[in-house]
Amino acid sequence: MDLFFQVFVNSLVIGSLYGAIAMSFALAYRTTRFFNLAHGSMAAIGGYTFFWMRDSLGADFIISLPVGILVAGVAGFLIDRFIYAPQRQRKASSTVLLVVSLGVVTVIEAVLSMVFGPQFRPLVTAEHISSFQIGPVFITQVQVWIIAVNLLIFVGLIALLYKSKFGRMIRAIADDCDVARTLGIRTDYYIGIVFFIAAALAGFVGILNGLDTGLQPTMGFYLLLKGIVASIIGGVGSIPGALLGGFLLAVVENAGVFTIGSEWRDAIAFVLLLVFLAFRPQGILGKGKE
Amino acid sequence: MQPLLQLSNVYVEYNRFRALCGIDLACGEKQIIALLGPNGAGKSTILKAAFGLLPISQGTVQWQGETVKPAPPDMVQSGLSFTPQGKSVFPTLSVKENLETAVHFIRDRKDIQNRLDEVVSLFPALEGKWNAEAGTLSGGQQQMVVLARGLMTRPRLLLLDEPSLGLAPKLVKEVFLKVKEINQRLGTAFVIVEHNLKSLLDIVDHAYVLRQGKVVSSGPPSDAALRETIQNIFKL
Repeated sequence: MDLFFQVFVNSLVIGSLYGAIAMSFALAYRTTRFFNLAHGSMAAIGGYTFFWMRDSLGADFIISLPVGILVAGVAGFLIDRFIYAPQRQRKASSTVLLVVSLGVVTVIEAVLSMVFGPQFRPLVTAEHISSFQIGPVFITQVQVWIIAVNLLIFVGLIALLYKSKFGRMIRAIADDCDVARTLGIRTDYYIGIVFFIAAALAGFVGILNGLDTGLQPTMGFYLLLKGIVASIIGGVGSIPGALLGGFLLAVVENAGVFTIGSEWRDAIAFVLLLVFLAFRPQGILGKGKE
Repeated sequence: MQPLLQLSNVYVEYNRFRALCGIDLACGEKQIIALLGPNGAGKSTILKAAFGLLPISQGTVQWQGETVKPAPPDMVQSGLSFTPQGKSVFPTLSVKENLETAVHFIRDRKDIQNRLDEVVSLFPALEGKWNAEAGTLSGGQQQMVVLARGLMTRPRLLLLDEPSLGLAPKLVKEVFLKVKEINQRLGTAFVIVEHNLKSLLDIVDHAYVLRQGKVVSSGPPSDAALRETIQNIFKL
């Protein structure tokens, strides 16, 4: 029974990471309708900026965290402005944009490897690994943050999308970008802001992931793959779907890891994806057309 | 009198294909103009060029007497609205949100509410559907939402691209009667691209017939030469 609770809490933590990256991915996807594979790299940029601030500049946690988030957000905004937006203006298809984003991932990973080295870097400090024991379950301080940040991202994105004028604009652009343009809505401006927010959130996830397990230049792509699986099984483009998908993916993965072994973690995730694609391709909350 | 919108000798090219060849067209204050012609004649291209969605390669577009290099954000705020082909509602937004989206540049909530009230008085049927997702409405109701959204900016001229697309004949007539009502009540001018001639010719002041990017005939709907051209092209 103790093991069950520990598996549940571990799933909650990993599911929060998957869910958070999936929600930020879904925000950009629902607005632009393309699979931005470079989204995960924003997590790596956030994580490495945080690492650089702490390690090279000796900056305090309270300064490094917002700077890491901001740098990731600005990177996302600039990539959209200078790489994706010109492609959109040329009416490039989603497939072209997907290939372009793969190129962006490759460049970012190469640059991070050149600057910080390709090896794994721990980001953990003693202050962050202090853990609590709640009954039979152990959980670290960082893991509590991960769960809290995931819920905050969920509430924040829902409020942004459905309770603000900005949200109404980006939902209109998501529905029909050409019609939005005919109403005089500066669609590229709004899409740029969406990329900033999505990348900043990914940067936040990257920092938390780095504090939990460490950094590697390729971490973003791996994180994004799980985020995409979570997003698809939850209903691609849906924010609540991404949250649910993240938890479901983590629960199934962890249950599999404890029963058949940790080397099967990724295989379990992709089998779950295949099951959904075969029997419920629209995901848990998708409406079919999404 | 100076027309609201005037196109003089306008040429538009898509990848070397000449879609418009020297179009001359004018729409005056409070007028309803029809652009007629077979598929590929360049009707929709005229609306897009006038609204700044397509670059013109030659000629000029004048809006309210001034030559403009149109860009949609500026055109909307200066009193020109455009509704693209088909049911162009935002399907996942509520009816109210659809209407509010059109006045995104207005911050004053009271002003927005006044405009919503104005539009509801023209389309009373929409009031009961205020919070319904626009995509769940019938085709005719969606077209009403599109018209209402176009009117939220209180345009002096509304460009309508095939408002009858996908609608049953009875609903088409309803849409055109609504256009006439708006024209008379608010003084809004319209340029309408249409295939559905019968109901449209009853409400317009002037029609242009296009073929292969050129105006082949124009005049009031009663004009004998215009009617003959329409009959020849559409085999009525």
